[in-house]
Amino acid sequence: MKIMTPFNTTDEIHDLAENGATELYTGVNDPDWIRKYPIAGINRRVEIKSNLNGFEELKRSVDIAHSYNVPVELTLNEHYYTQAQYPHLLDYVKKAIDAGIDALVVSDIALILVLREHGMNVPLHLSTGGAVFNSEAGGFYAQIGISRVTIPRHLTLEEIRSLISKAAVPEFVVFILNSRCANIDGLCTFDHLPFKCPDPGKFLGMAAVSRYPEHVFSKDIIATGACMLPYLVEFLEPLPTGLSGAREEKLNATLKRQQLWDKNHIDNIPCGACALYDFKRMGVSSVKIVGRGNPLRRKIGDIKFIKMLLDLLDGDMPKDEYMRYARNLYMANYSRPCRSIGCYYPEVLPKEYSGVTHEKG
Amino acid sequence: MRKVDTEFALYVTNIEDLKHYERKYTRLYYGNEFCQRLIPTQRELGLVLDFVKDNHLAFTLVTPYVTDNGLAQWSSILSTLNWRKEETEVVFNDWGVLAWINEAYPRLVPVMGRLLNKMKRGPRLMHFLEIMPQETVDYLRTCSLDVPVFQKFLTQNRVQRAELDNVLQGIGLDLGASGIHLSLHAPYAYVTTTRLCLASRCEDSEIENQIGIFPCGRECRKYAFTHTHPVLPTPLIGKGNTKFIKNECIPDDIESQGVDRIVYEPEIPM
Repeated sequence: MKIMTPFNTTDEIHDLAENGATELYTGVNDPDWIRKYPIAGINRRVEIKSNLNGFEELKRSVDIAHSYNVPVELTLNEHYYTQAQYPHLLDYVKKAIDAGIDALVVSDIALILVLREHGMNVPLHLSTGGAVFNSEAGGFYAQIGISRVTIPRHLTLEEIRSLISKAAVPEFVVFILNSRCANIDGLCTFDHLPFKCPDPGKFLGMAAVSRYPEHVFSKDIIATGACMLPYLVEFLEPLPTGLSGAREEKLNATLKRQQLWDKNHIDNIPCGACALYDFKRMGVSSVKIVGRGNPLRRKIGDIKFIKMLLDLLDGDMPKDEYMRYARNLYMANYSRPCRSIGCYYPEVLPKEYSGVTHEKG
Repeated sequence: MRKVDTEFALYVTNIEDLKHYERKYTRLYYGNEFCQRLIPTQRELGLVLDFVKDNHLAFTLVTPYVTDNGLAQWSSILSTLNWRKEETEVVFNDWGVLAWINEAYPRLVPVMGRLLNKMKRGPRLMHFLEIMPQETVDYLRTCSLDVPVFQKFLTQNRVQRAELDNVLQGIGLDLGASGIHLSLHAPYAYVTTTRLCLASRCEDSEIENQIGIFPCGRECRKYAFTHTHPVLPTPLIGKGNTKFIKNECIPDDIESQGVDRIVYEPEIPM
């Protein structure tokens, strides 16, 4: 299995490749696009620091990566683009191809069709935004030219096994480290801002801000994602009075559980390393580390962690022992214990990590 | 401007909600878009089809995104409908379901569901409309459906209708002579959905701090929540695995944009 690693500056590539990255992916900022669409990033990363600054930097990056025999994928994975954006997009793709990229990571079916119609000869890899939950969907995308599918985070190992074994798709990628959201990426329509908003009055206009109590905006709670706001959660309908103790306890649990959505739904340190053992046997081609904007040191640590575990798979270590080793290595590498709530594939965890189980839906 | 006769459809996810039927409706939508576990039984489908027949309604089945296991579960439902004498629409919210319909159920008429139309729905957007460049505002009011190559692809795959949400920022689609018809869902627009359902086993205090794919007791049918924050002009409504917003204001100009069907949701469609 290959290790698909993010980068956001040319300077990182030597270190990433020498430490075990076998595939790289990145994005490219486009000032004209940002000027027209400041809250609709060309590649779902509206933060400027998550991307390279132009196609010259992309070309330099590709050249260095290729000197290590490491391919570079460019993200163009916004969930949708409109007809008015296509002249700009086609020019962007042409520049990317000229820079030597090895593949585009895309989500929008219309974009796939347009690129094919315009004879843009570059391999197309499907982002998790394509939301492939079943083998028919995988086959559907393969028929229109997708050669690699990124599997959504919300599938169980058994569901992934079924998808890979049945779908006529050449390659599959699974998430292995960093960034998990409770919402399904490809089916989420929330807006995400390019930054936390320290000066809401300047950004939103005082007319908007003045409609709310002062404390609302003074605590920097215009988060990057509207999904991350600290919501007040209440039952839609008023509760009846005179409830029994047992009934009241159930309702309290119900409400408390709803509030988890705000507290835990974004997780920047999830891990799926214990599942590598199964992924190798399923035929997964690449494991994806998320975090284009993460510091280089963290990226290198992530690569080393995954590479050590992949190297072990070349031996004949039993599965139980492998997973125990993976959990201990996680602790040693990240100085924190394995957490079931931050596990991409919690069904692989032993019972002492119990509670978070994925069952067939 | 196209002159269209607007069709009114009633959308229910539960048989009990058929009580909302009125004579102005000429079509019934039935099914769930968000969860494969909420597949109707053959008995429930039979009751709904009886209701459709008794009231001389056209019928549209609504399906969710599905795993391979879900595809298998839905096959008997689609087989039943494939042999109906009357035309039956099936709303697909998963490209795999479209492929499957075209391969195995050629008598069914596929309709592109609203989960496949990726327009932004988060209500916070409303704060930005006045300060964003016009290009961004135009972007937020349309979607991939305005791309001619995509329109052609849809019609080649027997898709001549797509479902839209009544988004707060308004709709600015121009489908020209594409042959694609549009339905507008109201008043509930979906915002986001998950398989890590916070409703399943939600009454169990032992797992009140846990997130996962738990066994389902259809708790989503019992509870709904508001998620309020002052920065949102309207609260989110949480039911089951999905968050919605409510927008009862139907724009005046929808007919000119190709919307020729209003799909009314009397209850939160979960």
